[in-house]
Amino acid sequence: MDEKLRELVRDLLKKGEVDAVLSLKAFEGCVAPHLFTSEDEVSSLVSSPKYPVALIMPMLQSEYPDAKLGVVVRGCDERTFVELAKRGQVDLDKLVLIGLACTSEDVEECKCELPYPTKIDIGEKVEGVTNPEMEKIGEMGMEERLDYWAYQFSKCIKCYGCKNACPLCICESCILEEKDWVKTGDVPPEFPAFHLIRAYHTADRCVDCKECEKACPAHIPLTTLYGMIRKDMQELFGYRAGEDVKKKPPLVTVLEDSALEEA
Amino acid sequence: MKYENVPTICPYCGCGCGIFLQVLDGKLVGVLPSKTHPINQGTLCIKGWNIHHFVNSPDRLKTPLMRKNGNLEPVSWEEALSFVADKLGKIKKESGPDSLAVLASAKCTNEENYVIQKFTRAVLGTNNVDHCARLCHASTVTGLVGSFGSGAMTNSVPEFLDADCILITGSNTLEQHPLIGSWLLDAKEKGTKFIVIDPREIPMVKFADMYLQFRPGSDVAWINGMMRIIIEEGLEDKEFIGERTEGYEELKKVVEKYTPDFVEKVSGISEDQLVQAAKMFASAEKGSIIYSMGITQHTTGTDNVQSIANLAMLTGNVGRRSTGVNPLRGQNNVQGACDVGGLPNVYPGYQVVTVEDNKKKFEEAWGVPLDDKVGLTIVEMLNAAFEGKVKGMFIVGENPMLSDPDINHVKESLQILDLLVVQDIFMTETAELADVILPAASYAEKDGTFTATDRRVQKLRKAIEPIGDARVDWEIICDIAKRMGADGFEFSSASEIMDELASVSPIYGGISFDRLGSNGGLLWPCPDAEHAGTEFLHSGRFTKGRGSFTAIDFIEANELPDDEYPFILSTGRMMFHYHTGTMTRRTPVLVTEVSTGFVEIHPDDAEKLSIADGEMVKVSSRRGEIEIPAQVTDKIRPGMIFIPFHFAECAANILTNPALDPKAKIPELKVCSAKVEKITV
Repeated sequence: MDEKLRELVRDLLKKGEVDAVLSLKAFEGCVAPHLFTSEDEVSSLVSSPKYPVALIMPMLQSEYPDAKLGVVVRGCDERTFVELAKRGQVDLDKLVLIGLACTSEDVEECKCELPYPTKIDIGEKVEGVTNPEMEKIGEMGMEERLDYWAYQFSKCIKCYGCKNACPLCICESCILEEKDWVKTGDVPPEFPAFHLIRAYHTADRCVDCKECEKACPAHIPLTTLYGMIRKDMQELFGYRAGEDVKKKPPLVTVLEDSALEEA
Repeated sequence: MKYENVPTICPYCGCGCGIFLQVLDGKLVGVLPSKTHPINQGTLCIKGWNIHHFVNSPDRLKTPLMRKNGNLEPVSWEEALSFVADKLGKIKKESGPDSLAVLASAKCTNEENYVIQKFTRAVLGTNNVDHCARLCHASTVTGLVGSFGSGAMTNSVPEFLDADCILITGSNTLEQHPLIGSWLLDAKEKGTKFIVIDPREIPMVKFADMYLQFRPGSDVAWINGMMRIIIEEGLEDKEFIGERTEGYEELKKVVEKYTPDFVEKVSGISEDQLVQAAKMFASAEKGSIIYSMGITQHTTGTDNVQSIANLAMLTGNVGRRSTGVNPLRGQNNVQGACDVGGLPNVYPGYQVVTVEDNKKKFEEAWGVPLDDKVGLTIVEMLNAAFEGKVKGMFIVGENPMLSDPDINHVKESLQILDLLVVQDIFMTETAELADVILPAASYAEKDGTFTATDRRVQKLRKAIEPIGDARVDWEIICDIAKRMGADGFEFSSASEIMDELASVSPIYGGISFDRLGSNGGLLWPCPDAEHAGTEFLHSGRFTKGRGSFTAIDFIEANELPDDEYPFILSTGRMMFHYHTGTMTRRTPVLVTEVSTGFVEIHPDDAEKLSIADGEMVKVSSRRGEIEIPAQVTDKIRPGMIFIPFHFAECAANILTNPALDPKAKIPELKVCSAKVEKITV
């Protein structure tokens, strides 16, 4: 699969269809995001483990505003680009998305519902799965649920990894750092303020890329919580983040007439 | 058009997390955790996530400075280095080599520390080289060398996951070693039992099966008490004791008098809790002990460490996976700085300077005669400076004006020196007193290796060019050495220095830059190029042969509370700041979290003194006084106060006691007596 991907990237660079491609490079035993500018270095390109390439792209586009950049995207990356574009963070017209379908192992690891981009260039489409944790929590009573989350969040060491790894946490100043909202200097941070503020702030943009959870040193099942909110967004407003670049996010929409009707 | 991720190692604590520095067109723009790294696996703590901020701080030292007419003025490298070389040479000639002293740095690379100690020994001609390991784990090195033959963490970090029971004492692991804390949380969810024994109710207590709060300084008493219970219950590992250890009978005799009742009186740990904890630990198949400065920073530091070693051997918990005695090292490279000889009593690889064969070996390797006397330790150097015996000090990347006990005395001592050279990345409190300041490159601007707490040697990679005219530490030292007419400092790369280090230090014998890669490195001992490194020590045999039990009696701390100074003061660290704050206090997110120091005090004590939470109070000891906001919290014992030492404006170390452990020469930073007073306007 990686060899096919390399061929494709080489071809894009060779034909001059892109100036560079953002993907992953394997070297010295590790794998890191890398901007491939020449065909020669493409031999070290790999597709996993998944890194948040969409976290890096806004910086690259602002540094190289005229460049045509390629980027290897999984389903979640593509959805992230849609949400970033809605918020003016990336220019999709200057991007060439190279679609990569996740493998069944990837799906198993991420418990991903939608593990492929709209256009698949590399790999075979594998159907998604639902996060079994969501169902488990859905069956809990309110008291039990609160205890569950209180325990999970008691592990938090306030690293802000969830925020830092999130390609859609784009606010210039973060409310989580404001002491009027969350008391500063505490480990763990105040429950439930810190985590619920973050959950609501990402409610209409979270595309379930799992980067927050993968960046959590306490292994808090953040995407289970966010997944439940995503479900609400869909049920209440018929909104799925990352689906359609033209669809306005409900939390930033100004209503001229009446309130949004429940779907 | 260039965007790349340079793999390197986080320069804060000893966890040794793998990070990528994001470099965009030659500028450092961010950090990403490495997802493949065996320790942090794609995660970081708040300090690690913000590790790039201070590198570009406008406060970086960008040019050499020299004191002229009392003021520090910018000068050329030529002027600064020729002055330093001349002056060092002059002091050596006039007052002898031992009138010079050098502080190496736990923040610098192995290669830099190797060069610094080689410079001290081979060019200055003295063993007066030490570094801040003296203040954190000196007693670990003396204690564990005595008990086991090796002073390092016995096991590796990932092994915690499979331990059956972990006893944590004097280590605030979740805050001070957050990514090791992450492994512990995973272990907890897998079923590992935790016993936390600490005077403060640290975050890890929430996840503990048992929490024992005790009076600071009573460690030997409760450990002896536990061992007495284990022996009485017949839970000791007889086979291990018989086959692998010596001195058991003496130990057994000494612990006899540490009845639970006696221990309760001395330590405050209830009889019932002590018995339960002793049984829980002793019945674990794989029992592991984690400790840190709560154990080491005492006048009885070596005793405390050897008591921990006794407990591990008594229960047969050494030399197997997921067991062991695991001192967590506080600095990114404090393990390495010790390994490569940044200590006054050993050459690289812990080869003792007083052994004639070792001296010969290094005289041959370095081509110069060497001194066979043990040199001065940090506090001894400062005392010698105060007495006029040490006349010149060269301090690399350390800030004793905030990190050492009794700062007023430190200041007086440094001011008396004829020459104080400070090599650093920022104008520290120590640099402000210097005659010459040499601007150094930061971790992001150089190649080298760091050795993490679990003996993990990992490669640091240059991501950007040094800021301003700053130069890499080893290059500066080599330049001075050459100016002083020395040979053996013609290195052209860090890799070349590692090759020389490997050739003289058997534990690093098989380590080279080519082998290290960028994904977890190699764990020493790694004696030859084919050796895969060592996950855990003392397998089958202790480094010294048989492990030695040490029969130790409890001794009180050097300074105990009295009517005038009724509180026990402990100092330590916190999640959001690091050591003397030079890096973290220049990092906006961390300053937002915590902007200054505080004194933790129990609500009962606060009420007696009519002190409210957040109120500025005066804290004093026999050494000095500070004003500091009170933090009223029931997470601390009544009669005890705690102050983090990161903050110059309310520096805990103005108060601390410089009394030393007689063997390790570590000062008693965890116990001194103090007074808290309301400030009346």
